[in-house]
Amino acid sequence: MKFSTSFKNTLLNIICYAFILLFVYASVSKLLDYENFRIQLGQSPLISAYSVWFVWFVPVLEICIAIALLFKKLRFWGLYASFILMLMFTVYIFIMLKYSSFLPCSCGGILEKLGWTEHLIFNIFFVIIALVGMIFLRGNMSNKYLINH
Amino acid sequence: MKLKSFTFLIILTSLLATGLVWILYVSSERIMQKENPFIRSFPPHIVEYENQIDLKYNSYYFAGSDEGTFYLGNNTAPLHALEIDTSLNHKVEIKILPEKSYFKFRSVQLRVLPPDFYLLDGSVPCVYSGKISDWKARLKLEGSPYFTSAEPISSNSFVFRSNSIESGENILGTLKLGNSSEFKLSGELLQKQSGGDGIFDTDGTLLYNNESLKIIYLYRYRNQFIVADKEMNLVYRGNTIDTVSRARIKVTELNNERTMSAPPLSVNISAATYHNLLFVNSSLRGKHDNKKAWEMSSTIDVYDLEKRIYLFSFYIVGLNGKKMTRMLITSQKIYVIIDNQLMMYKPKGVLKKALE
Repeated sequence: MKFSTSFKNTLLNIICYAFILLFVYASVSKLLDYENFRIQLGQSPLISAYSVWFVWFVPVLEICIAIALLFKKLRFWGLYASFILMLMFTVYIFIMLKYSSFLPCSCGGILEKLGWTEHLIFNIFFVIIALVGMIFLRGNMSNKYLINH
Repeated sequence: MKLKSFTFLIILTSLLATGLVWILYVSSERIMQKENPFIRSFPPHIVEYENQIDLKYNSYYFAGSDEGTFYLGNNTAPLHALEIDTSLNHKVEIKILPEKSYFKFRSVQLRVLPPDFYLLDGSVPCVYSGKISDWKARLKLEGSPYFTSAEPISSNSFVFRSNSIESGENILGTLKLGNSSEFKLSGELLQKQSGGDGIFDTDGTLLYNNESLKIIYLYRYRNQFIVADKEMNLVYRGNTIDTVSRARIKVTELNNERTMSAPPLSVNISAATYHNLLFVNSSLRGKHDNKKAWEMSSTIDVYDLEKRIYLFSFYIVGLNGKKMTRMLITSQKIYVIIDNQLMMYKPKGVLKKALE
């Protein structure tokens, strides 16, 4: 499939801003309701043992990714990190849905209102758009590679 | 970046990310399902499946039994009950008629102790009682005491679990209905553990043994149970065979509400009692227990309350991925509810002997 460069750039911007919005919103709502988030993570059968660590790591990582996405040079790796993070969330939700009898949600804010199946679809959507963004950027990267050498 | 190396990068990281979460899951499962250093004995073929009936709904529970019949209450339709004969051939629907439906029930439980029946709702709180000959319920108690669980011990008297007014901790008591109802609390029976909050760590199942006239309280999160007489005098404190002597729960206060801050380790899921026996549905896997059997079934441990010993265990196989939630033991049969099915088993061998 061939797209015009301006279309690609617009779509790429939309994707990056969608991730920035998502991560800033998710991390801020987690930190604002820190106590609740800490307890919900502790209740999760998958990560209870590591929850002390996750409580800081997840929101900080989300903010770092959001910042990385603001800079053109870091965009590819920002999207790459978003892709990994969203994929891990997706696998986590999938395992919880399929194997766990107890489902606490600690996504924060309005995302908590989503049902688990909607949540899964929502996450898969973000995994896909991260991948699309990276595919677009890959083209740019190889162009640069050609120009510099 | 070349297409080849890009594809390689994406596939590799996808696998790594998926694998990492999977490892997290497997390692946490291993903690939950690990073998415990206690040994059960499973005598072969001591329960034999005999019959089952479709209850249509999964909200039924055992309310009591009589010679030749037993009764089921319903959690979602509290004024509806079932009378079933002990061979599961006849099912009669019962409509309970309260004299006035002034009260809005919140968590009402039906108990049948022939010839009487009771509607007990400790969060209103109110108690209705009547005769099973006409199922007309009359209001016997309203106002205090509040209770979280109650069992009839004889005509118009009950054992109940409530929360202490001062500390909020679980406490057992007895209640006698009359023109002026009286209740008595016993602060000594339930023991909170050091570091426990007296609410979650003393949570458990309250039973009354109608044959030996004993009150039994089985802790949910540790390997202990309490046997007391009708006057709440301690007979003895027993242990279940597992090794969880301390409740493994973490409690946090959030917006003035107590909540668990880590998944709790439930030890004893439910229980039933008959004659001198205590039947405990345990969630832990013993040292030599078959993993597949443990996963697919409910493990029932049988204790002799007179000799104060563990006897043996048996499995009740689950149905369509669901496990049993309730059980009723009589001298002739074992009844369990799995989802919306009522199953009947015949005790054989050592179990049959123990029930005689």
